[in-house]
Amino acid sequence: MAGDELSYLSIGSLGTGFLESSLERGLAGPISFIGADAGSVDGGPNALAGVGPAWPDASYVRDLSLLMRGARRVGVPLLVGSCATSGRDWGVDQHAEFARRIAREHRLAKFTMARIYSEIPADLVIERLRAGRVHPIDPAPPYDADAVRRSRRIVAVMGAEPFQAALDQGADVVLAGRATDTAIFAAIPLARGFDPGLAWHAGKIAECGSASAEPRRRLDVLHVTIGVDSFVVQPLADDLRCTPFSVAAHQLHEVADPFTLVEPGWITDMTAARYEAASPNAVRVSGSVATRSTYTVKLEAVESAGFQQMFMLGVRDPTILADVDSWIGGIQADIATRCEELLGAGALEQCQTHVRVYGRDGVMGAREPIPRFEGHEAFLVVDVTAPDRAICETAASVIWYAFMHAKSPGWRGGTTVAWPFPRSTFDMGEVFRFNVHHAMEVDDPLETFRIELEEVG
Amino acid sequence: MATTGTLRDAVVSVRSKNAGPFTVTFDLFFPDAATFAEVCRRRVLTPDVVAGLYGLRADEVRIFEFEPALAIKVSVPRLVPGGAPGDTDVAGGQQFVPLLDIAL
Repeated sequence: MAGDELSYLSIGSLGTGFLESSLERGLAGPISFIGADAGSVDGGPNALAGVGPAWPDASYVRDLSLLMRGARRVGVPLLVGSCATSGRDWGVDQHAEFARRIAREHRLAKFTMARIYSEIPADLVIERLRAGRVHPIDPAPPYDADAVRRSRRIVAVMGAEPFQAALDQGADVVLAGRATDTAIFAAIPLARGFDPGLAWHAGKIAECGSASAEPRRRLDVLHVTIGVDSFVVQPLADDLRCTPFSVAAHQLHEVADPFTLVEPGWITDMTAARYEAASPNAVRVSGSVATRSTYTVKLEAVESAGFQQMFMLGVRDPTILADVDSWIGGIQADIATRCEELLGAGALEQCQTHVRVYGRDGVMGAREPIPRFEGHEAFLVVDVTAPDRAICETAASVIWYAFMHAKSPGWRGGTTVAWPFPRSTFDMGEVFRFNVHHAMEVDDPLETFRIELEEVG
Repeated sequence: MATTGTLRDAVVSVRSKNAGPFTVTFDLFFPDAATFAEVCRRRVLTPDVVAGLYGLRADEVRIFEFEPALAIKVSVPRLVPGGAPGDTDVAGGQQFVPLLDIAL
């Protein structure tokens, strides 16, 4: 059984920064570990597809360097989850290389670093699909063996156990692939016997650091203390404070259901949770109850959606703005004719073209409740997507040219629309979509994860 | 509280964000317990009302009254997965606005 209390620090989001003074304040007290989430799917599918992480190297290195030096100085583990935004294997390796460089540059004493990889092979998912052991998480896209095979990359999202296993094997620094935000922070409290309802609920509140404090200006370090029947959260910057309202509000953050936290092997019911002021800037939370469930790992995967070109144009001509749709419709025949000349019959049909009319429904698309155009100018963003890169480039060029010289209805000879940069189309490269929102049963919590240990320093 | 008008007159804060790549979630915060209780009592936000605004079926809309933050959460499916071709709002940050016009 644990001691009566365990404290830890959460820095918010690796790569977005925190105050060095807040970290130092946290390191001055007794803590058991530092946790940092580095992941998000909010930026779309590109990071998992391999286009690149959310932040430049310098952003990660700055945060990781401060955290590694601080954690090694006071002798506590540093746990990083979802390295390089997506948690793909490349991101774990990238962060591991940063860590080795930091250890060399700052002459850190020898320590053990664990890398936990979370990419999984398509064959495993297909086998589980056939066994009826892959379950949709509503709302979920259709998912079958073909969808699995189309995936460019699949990661399983780890729970607490891979972190615990790495620590049991002696890791001082853990760089993990895709992990639930909460598992980073629940792993050690669970292993030390703290109440699972408190461990998971505290992890949920801590996941984004001071996002559970106010004002919500930036992310900074949050201090968490778990006790026997409650936990207390407190920001470490002087200008931030946790209030019962700000902490409860974070319960709503990026979740569809604010009362039920589903984690690998656990379901936490937060319906009875209470949030009370513990001091002018700290909040005590109690009352959540966690129960064991069938052990599943959520899957995240992306597939190619083809290649894309994009262009932008501005319209000020009132005779075009009077009926934008007719103006756009007027160039369809020219586009079809020219595409057939250049690419042959059927090529244009392979292209998917989206015309977003900013000033009307560019932001909400089909969900825009005000379908009419308002204002004296419009901005159009047009994208063309096709399975074949060459067809996409040629068709986009044709469509761009047709827009440039589309005849305006009000003037003899027409006008030319405004394009804001001295190039025609912008190459968006290969584009992707998430293609799964399912949970997969595993035989063991470690089955889909690989742990590699190394000595660093 | 504002007892006439629309939700725009009753809320103090609104958040709109993805909850994973397939769901967008809206959090409407009310200024005090009385306003929150009254909006809940009147059933201002229902799956039918939200479904009508977003072109969805009522059973695709989830609504939660969250008293600790004096907030009502509304979760709906995204039009396309976050960041897929055709998406207009990758993080789902601007999709809440139609809710503001719901009558009290």
